[in-house]
Amino acid sequence: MTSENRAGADTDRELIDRWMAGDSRAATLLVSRHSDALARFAVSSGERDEIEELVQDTFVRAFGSLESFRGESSFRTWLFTIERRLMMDRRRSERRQRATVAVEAGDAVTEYNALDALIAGEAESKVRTAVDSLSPTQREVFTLRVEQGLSYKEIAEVAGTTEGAARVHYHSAMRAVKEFLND
Amino acid sequence: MTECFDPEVRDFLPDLVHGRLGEVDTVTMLAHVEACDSCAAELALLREVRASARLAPAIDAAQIVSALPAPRVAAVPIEAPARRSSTGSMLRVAAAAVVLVLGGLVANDIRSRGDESSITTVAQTQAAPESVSMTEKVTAAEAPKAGAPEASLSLVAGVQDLTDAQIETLLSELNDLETLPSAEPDQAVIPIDVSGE
Repeated sequence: MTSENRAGADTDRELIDRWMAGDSRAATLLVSRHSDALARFAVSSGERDEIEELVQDTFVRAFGSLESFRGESSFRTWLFTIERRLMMDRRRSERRQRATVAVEAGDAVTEYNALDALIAGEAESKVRTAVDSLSPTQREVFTLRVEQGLSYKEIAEVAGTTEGAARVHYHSAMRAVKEFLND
Repeated sequence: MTECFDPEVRDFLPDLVHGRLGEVDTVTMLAHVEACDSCAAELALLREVRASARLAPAIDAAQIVSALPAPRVAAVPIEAPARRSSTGSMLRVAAAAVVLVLGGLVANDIRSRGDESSITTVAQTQAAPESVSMTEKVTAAEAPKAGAPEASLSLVAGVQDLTDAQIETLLSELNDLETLPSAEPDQAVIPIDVSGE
């Protein structure tokens, strides 16, 4: 069984070629096509602040080095890889800041989560808690597979691991989620 | 509930949720799920997880596009100026040296003739019965004085006629000239005093 390629009026590759030939409208189509997925990936990876800025930085980085995009993976997978790196940089920087600056409790993250829980139903909240209880690696692989629909090969590219390892992490995560919900 | 032991089918459940399977595979998967409670439950859970994904803020695509770098339009490739080969550069320098030395030779020749008022060409010099050959004349005129360093160059009919010392001096001057910008050499203008004074 193989995954089907996403069909569309213009493929990402065609839009990239058009943009590189000077057609700025192609960029609008590419950004519109992938920005929501990038925002969801950021949120599911635990980012709560300045999501739009993160998505924008991802696109700016990507378009600044489009010559290096060889098309071996999908454009979206490549974007996820860039965004993941930016998130890691951001977390490293936050850790450094926390090491020197005292952070008050009850920050925006808590408020965001509370609002989120209000919107979500009880069942949904329980599922979210189950996913949140996964290890960072399991959660990343699980959300990329379930929420973003990436293949194991694509997950391996984004997370910098192997296809086999991604498959193992996914099944471990699925087992853990089921156990959490059955308790 | 019995666990489904077909790992391949379970592996593709997320693809079914995202509609990433082909038509045939989708039908096959749906048929399996209908008959397998375990996969049906897992498919329901996957849909629930997907539906419960945290809300992401709306993204303003126009703002992002305005922040993007301008496309680097693929222009007609401009070839970088070809680096002059060292051989070509050597030839140019050698040509320049030849011009300079020829000029010096002519000037010396004129000086050695004393009060002769006209410039004698090489051909005329060779044709004259009383004149010595150009090689002899140059050798006589430019023979280094005792104790004086061999500083000046003289050109004769060919490189093979140069003395070892002259070749060495020429080569060292060529090496020095190699470091100069590789522009065409200026035309050497050597003032010739035709009056012989």
